[in-house]
Amino acid sequence: MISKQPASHPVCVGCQVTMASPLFCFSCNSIQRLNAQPNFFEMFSLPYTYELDLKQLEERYEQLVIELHPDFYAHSTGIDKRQSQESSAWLNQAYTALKEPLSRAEYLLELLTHGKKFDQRRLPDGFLEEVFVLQESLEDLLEDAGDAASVERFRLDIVQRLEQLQTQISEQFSQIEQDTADWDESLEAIQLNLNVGRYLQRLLDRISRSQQT
Amino acid sequence: MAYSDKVVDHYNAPRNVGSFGKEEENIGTGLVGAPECGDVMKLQIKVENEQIVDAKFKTFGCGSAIASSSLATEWLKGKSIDEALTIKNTDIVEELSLPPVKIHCSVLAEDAIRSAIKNYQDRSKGTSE
Repeated sequence: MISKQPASHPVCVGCQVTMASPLFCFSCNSIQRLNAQPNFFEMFSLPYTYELDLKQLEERYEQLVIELHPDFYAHSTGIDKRQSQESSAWLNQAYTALKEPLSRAEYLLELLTHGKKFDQRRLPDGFLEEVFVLQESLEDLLEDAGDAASVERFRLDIVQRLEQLQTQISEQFSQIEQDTADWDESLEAIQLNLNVGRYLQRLLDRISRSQQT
Repeated sequence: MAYSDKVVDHYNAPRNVGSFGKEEENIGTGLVGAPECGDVMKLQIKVENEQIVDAKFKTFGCGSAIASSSLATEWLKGKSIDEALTIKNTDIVEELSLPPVKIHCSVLAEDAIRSAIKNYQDRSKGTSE
């Protein structure tokens, strides 16, 4: 279920205070022992939503990443030492996934579908042909080494398409939140947009790789 | 992750890169994409008397995807349609020693072969009717 609030409020096993993150208790400064990776949104005490407050995400990430840093646990018991490594890895994975719009959408989609998978291969008619042509023109532009301005124009076109895609995804998630459309239809439409996004992202990756070399 | 020598060889010197001219006859074209990573692969076959006499490819993707499609075109040449349909992605994995994370590249090449053959068959049906 999409909710504006984090779904659960974990309680610290040490001091019994309700914690902002299941990973660490800021009240008694203790790392929490966990058997499984917590939900990404709950790690940062953020609501399950696509329109995430990125500033909050970053602030909470920075607080947690310091507290959980394995350097502080070098002389702790074996359990806490291992937990700090594991929790740090979980935290970084969650932060990376939530920070970027497309990977955030992918994670949220997974939560909302409860593992039910929509077709990841489905693409709009003619889209693959279009991507192939785009890849071919990009190849020509990149070979034509002096033409940085054309490459930049090409890049901006793709960036714009990705932004339009993200706007659509945002609308689709908000329809789900407000329950104004058929859930399955909206979720399937989000999946389709994510499928398209991966091919567009690939074009951008190719440009940034060419600029590094 | 290091690529195997065979992948590097195909990547550095890909075989049969290109496309057949639009006006050429007896061509089958397969265009497929990898949902995992956004790679795209185009593979074409030229058929005479149910024998694949030539094959070409163009792949925008990682080294393993390029090597898989390059190898596929090598294997296709000289095969009959029926023989070509027996090429399995696992054969490509074995030949190129692809690691588990790159198996989808070989799947992509098998999909491309099948889709090129299907396209050829659909088109030749169209012209004979």
